Amino acid sequence: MPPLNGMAGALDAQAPEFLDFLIGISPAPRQQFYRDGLELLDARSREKFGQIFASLSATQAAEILRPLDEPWTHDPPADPLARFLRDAHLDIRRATQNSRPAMASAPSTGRRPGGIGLYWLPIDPIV
Amino acid sequence: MAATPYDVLIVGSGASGGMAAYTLARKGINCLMLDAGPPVDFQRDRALKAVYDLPYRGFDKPGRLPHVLQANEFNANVWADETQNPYTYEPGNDFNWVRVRLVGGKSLFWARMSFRLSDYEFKAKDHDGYGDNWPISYADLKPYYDQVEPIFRVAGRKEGWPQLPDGVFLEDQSPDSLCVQKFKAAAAKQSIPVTKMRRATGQGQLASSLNLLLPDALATGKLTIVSNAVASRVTTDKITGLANGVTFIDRHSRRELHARARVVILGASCLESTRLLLNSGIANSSGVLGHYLFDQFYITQTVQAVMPEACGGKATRAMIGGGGYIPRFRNLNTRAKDFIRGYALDFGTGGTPSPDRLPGYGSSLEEKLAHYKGAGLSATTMGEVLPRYDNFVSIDPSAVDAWGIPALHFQARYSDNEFNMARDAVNTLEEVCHDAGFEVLSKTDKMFPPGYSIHELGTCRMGDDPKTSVLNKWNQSHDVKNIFVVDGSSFVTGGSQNPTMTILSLSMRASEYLAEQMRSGSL
Ligand SMILES: Cc1cc2nc3c(=O)[nH]c(=O)nc-3n(C[C@H](O)[C@H](O)[C@H](O)COP(=O)(O)OP(=O)(O)OC[C@H]3O[C@@H](n4cnc5c(N)ncnc54)[C@H](O)[C@@H]3O)c2cc1C
Repeated sequence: MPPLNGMAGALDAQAPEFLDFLIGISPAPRQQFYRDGLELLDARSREKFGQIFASLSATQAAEILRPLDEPWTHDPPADPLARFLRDAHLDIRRATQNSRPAMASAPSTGRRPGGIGLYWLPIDPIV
Repeated sequence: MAATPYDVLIVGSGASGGMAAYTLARKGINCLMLDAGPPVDFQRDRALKAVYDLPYRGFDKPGRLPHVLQANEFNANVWADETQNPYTYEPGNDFNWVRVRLVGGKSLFWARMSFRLSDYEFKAKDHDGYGDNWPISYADLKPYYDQVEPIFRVAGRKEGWPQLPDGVFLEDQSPDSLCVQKFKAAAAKQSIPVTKMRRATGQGQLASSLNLLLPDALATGKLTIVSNAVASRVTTDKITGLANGVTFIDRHSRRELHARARVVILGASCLESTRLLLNSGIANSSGVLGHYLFDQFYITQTVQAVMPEACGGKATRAMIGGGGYIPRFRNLNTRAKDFIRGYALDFGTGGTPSPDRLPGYGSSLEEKLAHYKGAGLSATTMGEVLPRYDNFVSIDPSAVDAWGIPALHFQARYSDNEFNMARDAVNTLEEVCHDAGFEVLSKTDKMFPPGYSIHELGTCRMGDDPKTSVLNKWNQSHDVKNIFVVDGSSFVTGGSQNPTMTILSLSMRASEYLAEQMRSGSL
């Protein structure tokens, strides 16, 4: 999620740090899904370009991320990397849009990313 | 409390229990209402917040409400806590049991889509030979729908269709946008009817027992509401076998208490009322208590399409916006190839397609979204699920809730009838969209797990034969004459219409019958 049209991107929004925190407190299968997915991302990058994903050029990265350009299907893709990319992409997008920097940089007209809403506080919780 | 002689004890303060209290208290009958949840205060319990100020940026605490797909971080605190209120199911056969434990129940949050059932549902067996008819017909319930709709201020458009009877509506005369007109014209070519959504407008968009039913009942001085009272079982008199009250547990102190009454009404929501009866070991001489569990299968975003003329920033109010409702149109006068019964569709226009279902990422995705902005059409399929004996709830002896009350075990799955129906829905909708000149971006015929619609029904069904049903046609237990069950558990079939108007009407009808029985001394 790059910064586009003056809007904060994923790095400005500290989306990686936030997702690190979120996945770290998620149920074990979700943690495993991310661990396997990230390993696969590097493995596929090494196989194709001899380096880990973070070191790839934009063109090389686009090649690895090509599954994201496939049309959506209800069932997750058979390729585990494609499956991971689909989920991780949506998580990154949401973590970015729902961040303070993204909201602050949103154009004053149009939809506010993330937005403001009525939050329900705990109602007479059991102590 | 134990010493106070109440005429009627009502468990549950939602739509069903609320309507029972509204009807009975206004007839001078002294009612006690127990609800497991606390009272809600819309001022105190809500605050405006930015999503980035929430601890999880809107993702909510991971793993907190795995079965409530409707939950988000803003509303997570209103749903029943799944750890305190557990239930079990066969691995791989999830049931999404969505509950609200607050005074007012789910009526605080429902989407207010309000429809009547027709004799295609009440007399479904006569129509296609499957299952059972209800012991009542549309004509029996019509006078109650006529009273309930004005209380809930239901808006809609009268159409004169037999499968979706008209009601006492606030007439919706809003014009259709060009997009809706095109969609309607394309649907008409296939003899598919389209109308305005029928929706309870209530007061200030709240159409709840909390603001529309309980205040009038309380104003009579004949209703006492006890919140935080978790009912655990209905107690019976050893000699007469009749119910004499309800044992309940204070939610906070966990103290067990008992309240007595001449009659017990259960409106704890479909499956909670059944759980109470199962845990009480009563009202089940038929052996069907818990069986014939069904709901409506849902496929949200069955189709996502865009209207090409509205793309590229050209979407105007006159061109696109608003939505509509397609009632069941299959298996009325013709027979579908591979399924019986039918489905309804609820569509909206003027939104932006969901990025989740579009290809691309980064700038390419953002460009697409900007191009499609405000030009979208998306629809939800709501399909009838056949009531089957094999779909049921029972008590799981190994699981208890936070108050030590045995929990439910679910065994529910959809069958080919539902899967075939879903395929028909997506294909038909796609065709209508193409005919209307729209571009279909994504489609799916995959439904959510059972329960997702929050329209769980059956398990305590009514019927004329005490050997095959739990309740008679007055929502009264065949076995224990002073127990009435007034929520969705009494349903014999559900059709594809959202059930709450029918629940409310049945509750009013049963309560009027009960009042008359009490007046005449029969109960
Ligand atoms: C988000 C959402 C959208 C919906 N949209 C629609 C719609 O558009 N149209 C439609 O027709 N329907 C809709 N529904 C469904 C509708 O809300 C329900 O059909 C209806 O409210 C059921 O009413 P009820 O009284 O049977 O149950 P509930 O509203 O669940 O009330 C039951 C009450 O009983 C209490 N209770 C439970 N167990 C116990 C116990 N052991 N002891 C004491 N009290 C107990 C609970 O606290 C609760 O207050 C929707 C529901 C939700 C949540």
